Amino acid sequence: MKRTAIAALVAGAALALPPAAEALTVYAATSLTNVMPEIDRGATYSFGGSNTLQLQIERGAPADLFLSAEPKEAQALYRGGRCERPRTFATNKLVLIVPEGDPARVGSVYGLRRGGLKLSIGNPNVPIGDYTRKLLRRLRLSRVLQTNTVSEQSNVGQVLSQVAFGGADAGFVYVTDARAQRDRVDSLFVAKWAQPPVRYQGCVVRRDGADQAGARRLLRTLRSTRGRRALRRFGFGLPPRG
Amino acid sequence: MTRRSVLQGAAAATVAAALPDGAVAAPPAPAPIGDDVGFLSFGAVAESVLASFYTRAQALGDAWSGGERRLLDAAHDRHRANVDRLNAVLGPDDAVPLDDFSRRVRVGTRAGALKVGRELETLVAGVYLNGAGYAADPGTRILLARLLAAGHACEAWLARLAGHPAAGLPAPVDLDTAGLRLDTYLRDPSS
Repeated sequence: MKRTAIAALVAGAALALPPAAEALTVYAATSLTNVMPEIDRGATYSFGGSNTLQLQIERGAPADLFLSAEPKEAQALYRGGRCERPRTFATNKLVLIVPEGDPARVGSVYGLRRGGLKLSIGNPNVPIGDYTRKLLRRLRLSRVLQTNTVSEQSNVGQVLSQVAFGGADAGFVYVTDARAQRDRVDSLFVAKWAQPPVRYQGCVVRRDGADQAGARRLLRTLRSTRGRRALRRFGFGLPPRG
Repeated sequence: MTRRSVLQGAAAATVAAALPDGAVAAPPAPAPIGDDVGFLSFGAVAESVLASFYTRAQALGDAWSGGERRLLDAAHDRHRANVDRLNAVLGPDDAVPLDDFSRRVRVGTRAGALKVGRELETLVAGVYLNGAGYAADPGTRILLARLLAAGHACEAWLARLAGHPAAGLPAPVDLDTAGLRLDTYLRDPSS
């Protein structure tokens, strides 16, 4: 009986711990997988396609901070009253990757016109898929999605893996992803003028029990000199300060 | 009245007449289809580079007469307006934000400025000509043709300032080639 009472007391004390004692929960775009733990090792991360994470937050997932690879998802949560005003904290560029040595001799983005290649891209609902289609439209290369065998992935990490391990002849990822696997993939030229604007936005999630103070702190850190240095080290671009 | 001032007056009239404005009958509204956005996106970036060129050229000050400076100003304003016009057609999803690129146009002398300006105007007009032939949407084709006429008028004026006869229409330039050239004038502001 005495033991039971002690156990109940311990359990009660554990439940009574302030939320700040728990790790901050961050839902972040897959392309932030390498850099975020460098900025805050203490947080708990859930990485995935921004659209999937958005849906999970809309359904009440226990996120404190949402970091999206394009403004659309964060802005949708903001409009729905599920997060505070999103802030841009990083930019990125697209690149065409091929397995090391370019065995299929793709050569450049224009090499995709040849057709008959295995091309890996994000599906249209994830930021990398949306950006890829914009890039191809700007280059007047949308037809390569018909003339090559296209496999659509649900996040940029899957595109990277597919190319890195030889499952595809080429794929579109962010520059930062290509850097992370540079021993397995080569990056091919994509014209600067045609790059779509890739903007990462973060927002503090509004829900009962969310650690909003902690989330605001981490978002501030991301936009601070220390955060910007880390982002830069991993190859991200930086928006103007402010 | 000198021959130079007559030619300058004629050039001003040509530029003013050829630059698109609202005074002529409205063409069908452009509604780009599929990859038509390629010509328009290229145009938006290139027009911003041209606007930067005319700003840099203006900064050479005494290299130009008063009349020439006014024409440089007018050309700058038209190219800058073209960026907005093209972005409006592209719509919020495809518009090219101006802060996405730093433009790196270097001109040190009048002769150098004329050379760079002519090269840029010819390049961009060549892409518009290509687009006027290949864009799927009729409204987009007309818009590109009007921009071509405007660009070509500017090129002809720059050619006259350089002491060369105005050339005929430029050759069409494909986006692959033109993009490589345009890239040399661009820098990623976050890099």
